[in-house]
Amino acid sequence: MQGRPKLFTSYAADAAIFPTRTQKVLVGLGVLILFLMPFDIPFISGPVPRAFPDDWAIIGGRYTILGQIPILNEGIPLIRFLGDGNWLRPMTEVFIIATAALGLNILAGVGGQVSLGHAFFMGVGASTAAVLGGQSSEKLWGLGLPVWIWLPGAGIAAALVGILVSPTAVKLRGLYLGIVTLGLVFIGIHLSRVFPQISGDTEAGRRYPEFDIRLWKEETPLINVSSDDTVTGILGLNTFEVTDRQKTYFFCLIVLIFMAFLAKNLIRSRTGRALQAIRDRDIAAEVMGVNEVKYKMIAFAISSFYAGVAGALFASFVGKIAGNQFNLFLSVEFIAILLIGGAGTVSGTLLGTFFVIILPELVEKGTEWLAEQESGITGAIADFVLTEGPGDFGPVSTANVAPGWALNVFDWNIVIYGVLIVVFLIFEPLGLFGIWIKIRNYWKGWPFTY
Amino acid sequence: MIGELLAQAGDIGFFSRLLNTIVRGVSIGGVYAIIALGFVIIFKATQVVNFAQGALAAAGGLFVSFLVFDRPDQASPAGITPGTWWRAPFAGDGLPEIGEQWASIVFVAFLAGLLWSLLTGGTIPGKSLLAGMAAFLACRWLATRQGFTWLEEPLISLIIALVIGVGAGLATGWRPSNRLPIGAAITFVAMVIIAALDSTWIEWIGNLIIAVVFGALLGMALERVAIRPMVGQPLFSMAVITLGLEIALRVFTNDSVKILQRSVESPWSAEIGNPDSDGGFSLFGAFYFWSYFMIIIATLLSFVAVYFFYRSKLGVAMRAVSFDQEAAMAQGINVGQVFAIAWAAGAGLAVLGGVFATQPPIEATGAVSATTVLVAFRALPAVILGGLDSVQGALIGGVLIGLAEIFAGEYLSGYVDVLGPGYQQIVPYVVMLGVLLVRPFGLYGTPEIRRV
Amino acid sequence: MKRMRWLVAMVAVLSLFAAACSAAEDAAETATDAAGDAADAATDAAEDVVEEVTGDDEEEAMEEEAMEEEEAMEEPAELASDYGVTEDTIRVGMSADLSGPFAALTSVIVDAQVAYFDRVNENGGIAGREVELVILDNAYDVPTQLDNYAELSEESEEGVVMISQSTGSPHTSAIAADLADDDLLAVPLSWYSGWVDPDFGGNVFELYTNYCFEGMNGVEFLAGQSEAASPTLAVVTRPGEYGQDGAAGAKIAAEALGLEIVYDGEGAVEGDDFTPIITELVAAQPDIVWITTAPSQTAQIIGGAFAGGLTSAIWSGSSPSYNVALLDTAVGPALDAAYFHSTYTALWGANEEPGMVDMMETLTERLPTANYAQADTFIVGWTEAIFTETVLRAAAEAGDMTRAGVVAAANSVSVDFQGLAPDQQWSGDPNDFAVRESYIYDVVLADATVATPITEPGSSGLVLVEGPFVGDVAASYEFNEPCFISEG
Repeated sequence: MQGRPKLFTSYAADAAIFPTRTQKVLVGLGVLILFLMPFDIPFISGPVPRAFPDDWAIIGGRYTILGQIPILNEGIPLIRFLGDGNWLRPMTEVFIIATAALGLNILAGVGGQVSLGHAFFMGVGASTAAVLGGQSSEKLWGLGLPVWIWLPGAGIAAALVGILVSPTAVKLRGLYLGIVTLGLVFIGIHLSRVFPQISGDTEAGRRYPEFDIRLWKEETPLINVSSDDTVTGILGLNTFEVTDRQKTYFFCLIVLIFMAFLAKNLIRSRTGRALQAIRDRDIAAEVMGVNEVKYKMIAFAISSFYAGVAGALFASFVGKIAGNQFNLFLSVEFIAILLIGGAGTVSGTLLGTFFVIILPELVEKGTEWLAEQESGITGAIADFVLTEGPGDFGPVSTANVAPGWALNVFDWNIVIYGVLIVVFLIFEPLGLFGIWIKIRNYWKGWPFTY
Repeated sequence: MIGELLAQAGDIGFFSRLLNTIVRGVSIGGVYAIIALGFVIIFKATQVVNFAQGALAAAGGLFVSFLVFDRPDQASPAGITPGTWWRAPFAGDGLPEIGEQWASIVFVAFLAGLLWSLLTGGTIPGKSLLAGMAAFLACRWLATRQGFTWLEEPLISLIIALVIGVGAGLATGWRPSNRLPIGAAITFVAMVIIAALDSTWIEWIGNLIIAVVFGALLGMALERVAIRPMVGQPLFSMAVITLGLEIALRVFTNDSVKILQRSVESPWSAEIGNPDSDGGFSLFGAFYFWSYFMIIIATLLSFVAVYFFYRSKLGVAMRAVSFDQEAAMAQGINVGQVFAIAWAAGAGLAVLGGVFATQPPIEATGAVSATTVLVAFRALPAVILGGLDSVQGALIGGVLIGLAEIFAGEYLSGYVDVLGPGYQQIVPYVVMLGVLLVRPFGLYGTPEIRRV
Repeated sequence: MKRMRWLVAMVAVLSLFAAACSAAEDAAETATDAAGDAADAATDAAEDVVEEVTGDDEEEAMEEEAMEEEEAMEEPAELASDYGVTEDTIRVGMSADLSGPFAALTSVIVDAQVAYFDRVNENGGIAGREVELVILDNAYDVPTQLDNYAELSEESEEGVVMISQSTGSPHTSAIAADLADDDLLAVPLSWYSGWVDPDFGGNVFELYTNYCFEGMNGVEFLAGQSEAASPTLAVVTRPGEYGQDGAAGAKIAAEALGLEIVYDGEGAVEGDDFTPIITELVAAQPDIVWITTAPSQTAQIIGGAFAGGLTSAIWSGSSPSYNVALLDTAVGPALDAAYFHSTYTALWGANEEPGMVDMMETLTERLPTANYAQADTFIVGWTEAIFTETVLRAAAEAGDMTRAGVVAAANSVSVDFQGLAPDQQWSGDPNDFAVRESYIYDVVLADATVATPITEPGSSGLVLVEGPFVGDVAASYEFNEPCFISEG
């Protein structure tokens, strides 16, 4: 079978979650890298960390073979910076937003029902988490239940609301549906104002439960996620610090992987195929015996479940959040993620989320870097792009941040975000996933590509 | 609550309050209707919901505000009267004042005619009228700025303009039986009437028209750059493109607002708290801003204009395109041109709506603010309520939503404890949801026919 | 074909390794000498060597500039330091709203700080070190604020030693507990009375008075101005720490002075349409109104109330409720007739104190394009910078520029605002050290030249009526806990 891709000899092989070996390897590698990223492990990052204090330590020590490769001692910068605290947070945010985006992908990408109300369902999830897991006080409702109740509970509550909404959604088509779900977002924010007992203060919000894993309401958690810890390593050779940020990162990563496999599985199931049929031509699907009302309801329920879980994760990750955070811009962000990543595919959704969340950070870092350039080609570019004082010209101002021409880099970030949505849709309607497919196809036929 | 209302009903204050509320509701609804109309025109032709309407609306307010620059920080080039930069080419020292006055009237009419002829594709008498106006303007410019003393007398300019205009018409095959382009003529007559009233009115309306033209050009540019390459792609992708445009454009409009309050300086200018020019009048103890009525007039005028527009040759083409794109193409209709015109008209209407959204009752300051861009999102329920592809739906939906919002705000204000602060702002969405449950395509929208 | 591809890949990988090995060999050798715990230091040294090898061209060109700068700098003092302070720089962070709803205000404040520290650096810096401002945008968004905090609080050279600006009440309260954990200092751009909380009060340094005292002073002042014998009060505020803290202050004053509250709109201001509030205000016909909102909302509410027939009331509100730029709009006359602006600091050109003269000269020179709409806001940034400099200098003097050292210094210093604001210190009981003075200005439309650049003579149209002003209510109030505690 070697060398003949896409040749499947059984139905099961064709419908496998990862039909090719390359895919299995790539996914495995990706997951491995994601798991190793938060640590300063010499394989992928930085100078010899404290995790390996001894020179002869098994993998990273200086006298070992790996230790002789200077580039490993110096660190590979691309991954190295992810070891820093300030890259961990955006990455964790990527996992959470991706969880929600996976839900919208099932509804919009697979099922063709475009919803601008995803932020609303996230809000429902967050509110449920607050009531189930939060601490009660005079003005606040909260049951203080453990995470294994409030996290799925948030998803289920959101799914129920999704089912409530779906009869309306089944009646409406296309853009009408989009705008009606947009209405849900406004109504949701208003409800958060009407019920401060659930959402807390209108502007400051309330504290959300932490990820600490408890059996029930006992004092010391089973697994402590919300504070720093010292962990004894493999074979008891060494100990290393694990911060709460790293733990949150893992918690969200595990949830995402679980949900992504679920989504991947769902797409290849009977439900997934039914949804695709509805997306492609709803009336034809009905003629073939697909129950449109039922499957649209299922799609809404599943997508809202994902949104609810992600909303609870997001609220808990941020710690203190107000109801008006689940607004139209968040909804639009999901649409952008789907379209930039490539609607309908799980890997596209993940890529899109990474791109949309990390890009602003890169633009800021890039501008900082550019501002340091004094000479050479980069210096010339910097001179052209940056405005460093009065009388200088260039679209990006580093001299001051006050409004007016030569916008500051933060404003440019928003412009770039908007323009990228446009550019991606015009030039690569299939998104990042489409680009990946093109690259893959190029190499697949190499050197006989044209 | 009903008991309370009945108890009040005997009182004149009750009716006065009711009347005031209705007028405010209708005028706020008028702004929604204008913007909704922009949505509808674009949707009918291109099947795209243009989410960038809000940014265009804010840009409209800013255009007018920039044109009315009389602020020392925006130092104008020497010799230009603040607020009327476009009059400057015709302002000369010691020349007959009347020539300057006429020139500015004609200039405004020229722009209005240009816009109309852009929108309708232009008729021969229209073109000849425009040629005449252009000739007149050129003469006045030569007389005042270039020192052609023999042109000083405005009458000579007028005669030259007539000769050139009629000549151009005859040369291109003018037949007297052709109707004059209604828009240009109406604008011209209106300008003359207004000029007789007060010159600040022509100046401001001139600025408004220029802003609408700018907005239309911006809309055309957006269509050309972002929408045209997407023809044939999924409709939702196109709608999301406009969302991207909105995000990007909004940065620029908001940034302009942040520096200073960008006042639109309307001629009925309200100065709230100044008893000499409070910008309105009292009736039965309730106060009415002039802007309420200006908005209603503008709304009616734009709907009349669209009515005539849909009757013009290009309007028919547009309706054909919205009915069946391929069939229209087969009939030789230039679909690309129709798209461009639809975007120009939609963007122009957004600009118009945006300018009036800076006036009471929406904005007390009379200035563009960071919330002006949100007016399009406030108008969205109106569009959906009326039906995405219905012109009369936009008018009725806009007014209904405006009334619902204002009535809820005025008469339920005692129940804010239960309803939550800012409750009146979600009333439009609740009304929209309620109506859509009964009529999935809005009040006047065309139901989609589903075929295999 | 497949084998061919493998071969190409292997060759490429090997050549990469070869290149990497030869380039960094020297560095690796230098590093091998050191052992054990000194491994970190050795790596640093190795990095230095590499830098010297690679970056010589550019450095030569810059050397002359560097020499000049070094002459101006005093000799760096030996200091204890942990994060954000190195041999030659002190990193100070800001997480400010630069693209959100308060950007117009905040960006001006940030610019004033930047101008201030540019001058400090030109005069030799602090303890021989240059102050480097790390400016981040929080977009008035709590999650972004937390991202920013993670970046600023990082426990490495990339971190900062203190945070001289943290915009927003909810945003600062979201990081308050972490500030205490990390022993990091922050100056909130928020005058919430809850910043003296014992849990994090040692780390959050609110400058000037707070919304609550301001509300008491404002209502007492208005009651004195009103012609009515026993004026009726209306309170209109936003929800949350900002609005409801202001409302709490106004209500405390109302109770102490025996004023009747005819309309209580605490937390009612939401969004951009205020029909119900205006309806209720007009129906209640109060004599005085206290308002705690955003400027555009103030304009809408006052404009609507005037048009609705409430013309006799006099108004005042928390400092952020008003913006000089509003005078340029249709509500200008209404503000002129009825509004008193309350602030925490003296305003641009309001006195002849040395601090004022110094600030005006420096900013006129450095930010010549700013106008009178922005001038008054500069003072907030300038005084924040004065606080920051005072604290850093105190820490340097004590020889401890660790984060904890800076916090300790801030808790013991007394800051002299040179006549720009009441002098302030933070040690002891909040009831003793809390500043209770506010300044009250009358709005005079005829004087205002909002758009004039500050390089030319002009005015923001504000005339001082009382200030520094402490009412009887504020003076006798026992300040033992925040006036308003949010539901979170």
